[in-house]
Amino acid sequence: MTRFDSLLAVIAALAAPRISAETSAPSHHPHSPLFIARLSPKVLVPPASGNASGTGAFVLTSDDNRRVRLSYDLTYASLRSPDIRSVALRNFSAGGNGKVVHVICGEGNAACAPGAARTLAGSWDERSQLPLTPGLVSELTAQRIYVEVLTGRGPELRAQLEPQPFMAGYTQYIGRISGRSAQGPVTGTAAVWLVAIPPDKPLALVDATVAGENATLRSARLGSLTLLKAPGLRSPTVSVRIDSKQIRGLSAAELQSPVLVFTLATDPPVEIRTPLVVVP
Amino acid sequence: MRALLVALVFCGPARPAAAQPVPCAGGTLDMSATSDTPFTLPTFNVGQRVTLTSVVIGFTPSSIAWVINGPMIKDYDERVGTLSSGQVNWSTTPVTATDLTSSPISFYWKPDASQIHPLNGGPVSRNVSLTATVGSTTCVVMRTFSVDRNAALAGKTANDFYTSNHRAPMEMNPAKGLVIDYHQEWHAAPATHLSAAASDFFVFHRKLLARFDSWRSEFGYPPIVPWYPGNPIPALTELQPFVPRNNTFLPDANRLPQEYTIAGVNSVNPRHRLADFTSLDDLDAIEFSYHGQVHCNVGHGFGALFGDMCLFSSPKDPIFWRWHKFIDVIYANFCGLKGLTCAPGQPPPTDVWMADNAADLAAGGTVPSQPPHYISPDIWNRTAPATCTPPDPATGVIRSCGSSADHENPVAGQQNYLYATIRNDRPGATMAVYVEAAVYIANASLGLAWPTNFGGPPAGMPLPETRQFITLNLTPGQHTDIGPVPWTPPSPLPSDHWCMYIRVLSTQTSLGIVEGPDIDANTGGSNSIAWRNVKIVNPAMMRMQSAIVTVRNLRPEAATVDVVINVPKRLAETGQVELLLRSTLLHHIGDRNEGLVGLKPAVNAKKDDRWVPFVVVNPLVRIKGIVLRPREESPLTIRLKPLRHLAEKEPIRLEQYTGGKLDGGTMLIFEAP
Repeated sequence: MTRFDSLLAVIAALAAPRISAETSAPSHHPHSPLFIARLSPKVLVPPASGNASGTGAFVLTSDDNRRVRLSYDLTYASLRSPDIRSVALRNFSAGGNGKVVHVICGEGNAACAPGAARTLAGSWDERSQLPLTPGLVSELTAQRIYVEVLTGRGPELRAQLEPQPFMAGYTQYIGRISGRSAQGPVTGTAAVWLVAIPPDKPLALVDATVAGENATLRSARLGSLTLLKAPGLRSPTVSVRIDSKQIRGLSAAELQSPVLVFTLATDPPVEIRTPLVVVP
Repeated sequence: MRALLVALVFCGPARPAAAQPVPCAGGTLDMSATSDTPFTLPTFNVGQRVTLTSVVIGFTPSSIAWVINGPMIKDYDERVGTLSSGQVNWSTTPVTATDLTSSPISFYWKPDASQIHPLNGGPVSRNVSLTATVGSTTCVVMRTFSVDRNAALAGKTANDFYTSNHRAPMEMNPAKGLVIDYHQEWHAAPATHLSAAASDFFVFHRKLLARFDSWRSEFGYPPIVPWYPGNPIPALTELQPFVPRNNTFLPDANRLPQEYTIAGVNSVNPRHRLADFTSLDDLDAIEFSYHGQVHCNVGHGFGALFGDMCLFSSPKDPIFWRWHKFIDVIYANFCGLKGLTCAPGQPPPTDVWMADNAADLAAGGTVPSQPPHYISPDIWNRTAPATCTPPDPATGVIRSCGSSADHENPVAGQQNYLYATIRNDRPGATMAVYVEAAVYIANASLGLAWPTNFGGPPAGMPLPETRQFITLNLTPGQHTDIGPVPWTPPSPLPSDHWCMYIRVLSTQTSLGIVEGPDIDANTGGSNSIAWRNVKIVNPAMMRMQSAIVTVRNLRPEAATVDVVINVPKRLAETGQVELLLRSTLLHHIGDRNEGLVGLKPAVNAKKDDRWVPFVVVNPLVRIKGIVLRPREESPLTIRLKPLRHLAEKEPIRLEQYTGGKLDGGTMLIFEAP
């Protein structure tokens, strides 16, 4: 069995109830698609600068009656202002500003907790104050829903919610980062797609952000694979694409039970291990 | 008295600069023409949304009226799936009288009769007039637009418009129309309104294709044709990609996996052939295997951009539609094999065939064909690729790669190339959407049994690459050459005589018989089965002057067989052909005086204990009354003396009969050294 076969088998075993006969690749779509938001000031309209960043993991589930719910974990960090006015989902494609379709905090709803770095969680469904409608699900899959963080200094972060884009079988993971440094608790959000592009071109997209007092990343690893090593400029966020060659460097065990390992640039450095959980 | 002011602003596409507003009621009247897809005035394309707006300055009209040269439609609905109101179907909306008194007015021009496929006589002028009434004054402004049905200009093909139209209000990407959204939505969140079944990959994409075909029909374009990725991407300007494709796309690496062919292949995979898949849900495995593979081999995986074939925005690439049409053909094949009702139904039957011999060819494939059947002129071997016209197979394109006269003895241990002719010219023929010719080989004798000697039950084992013997959209009344099928002939030992058994497979064509073990009966009884015997040679023996064939009792009981050999008269009369029979075989012949006709013992030939040499002295040789036990066999060697004046190709025909019925035969072609 080749390394790619092993990867496909792992993907299949983790994500799909059935294994396709000819390649062992997953044969069905995940039931609950994951949408990833990579928050940056550069995609604000108009664009802004700054070191703020964030990661959002949004999971769309539906029941037997096709009632849908979008559950999310969202972490932002390094905002210029700790005065969070609102975090909301809005409806427009990249490059344009749209109206609010769901309020995560602020905007007349529960106030946002102050702080330049936070992790939020919640959900949006048909019973929300602004309901999640079939039309908005279509807007979501078409990448016309974005999340925006508004602070006392105006819009600071934005990201479109993006589905896995490749015409290939894939496994999706989320990780809830939790740890503690000398400065206090550290939380965060991680989201990963492991994509089995046939016949032998697997790739992975890894996104994660940590939030905590002075919590930036000194390094980040997926198992034994170094994703980020930043002795100089340090960020709370890692957002990388891993190619086939790098994935083939991972052991079967690392693929079977993937773990993200973050080393915080705190004093002293702190290592946080975050097991990734498959979103079926 | 009403004043009528008429201004003809410009009369044709050559004079757009002459456009001027018309003075009217103390102000001016004009019109603007825009679209949400690229255009250069005064030209629009059929199927392109056109918005005309009245431009009124200095007065307020009490009414306006448009007169627009048609044909045109107001809009169309290409949505797929189910809404609360039910299933969504393709529909068009006419421009109404009310629309013609409103501004702005949006519509899609349809083609002129001269622009409907297969015609395309170039742009056609369409006049538009706008009449404004204010009090007793009526003003008219006129424009002439040019409406094209462009098929080649980058950015203005049918695909460009169709996939950009109906862009969502919140969408900034001008190239991302509703179709792209729908495709992305189905893949990203299939359990929404688009499809009833999450795994209904085939149904959704068939509907998506049907919508585009409806649009194409509405606007004068031909239907989408399938593209088989085992062939190169057609070099057509209308197939220019939206973003550059992966320039290392290799057709040979994208051939149809055998398990998706009708013939299939024996393997460890429990699904040997298309019919082995248990359900559409089971067949859906193709989505993330072969389907995804072709998408991402045409496009780029890592670093792909919007519109890349590896992404869900892939409908931007025109090859997407042809590729999915081929997937749809696989879907149709599966439905046909399984007897499933897959809307909108199966293509009509057509009797696709291959000829058994020259007489069968002359008779147009009438069943049954007369013997001999083992000399099909519709399959031949080449030791190097033939020159075909056109070079590459393409859907619906008739191709010529030579003929049976080009046949060369297959050379063992190195790559050879098979070519074949598929015929769709029987009475009542319809377009053959998908035809594959599966080639099975067996070593060999003058008689073999199907499928026992051809890979075993239940359905034999074709040469792996006969999946390249595929033709798509073969039009009625036509025949085309297919191939090459690369293959490596096996060793010619112990017998260099091999049998090729060919089955023409299509869900539109029935074999017409239940195949039995008798390949001669099968071939004669079905014009979708062909047979050709070949002699495999070693590379050092390409100019061979001897051959070994096997006499075999095909039956499960003892039987008496006869062998008939036709030798060219010139060779027989000069005594240049020797026949070596096993001494054991001679013991099976009851009466040698009666049993050996046209032969005499070779007096000066070298003898050994096993072989007994004879010289052929008559063009017709008979070895009669060979009594063989069940399945017993014996080799027979035919050899030419060294010749100085051998014609280029001297055919010797051998046939075996049991009880007067032909079991099989072969044509040996000896070539000058």
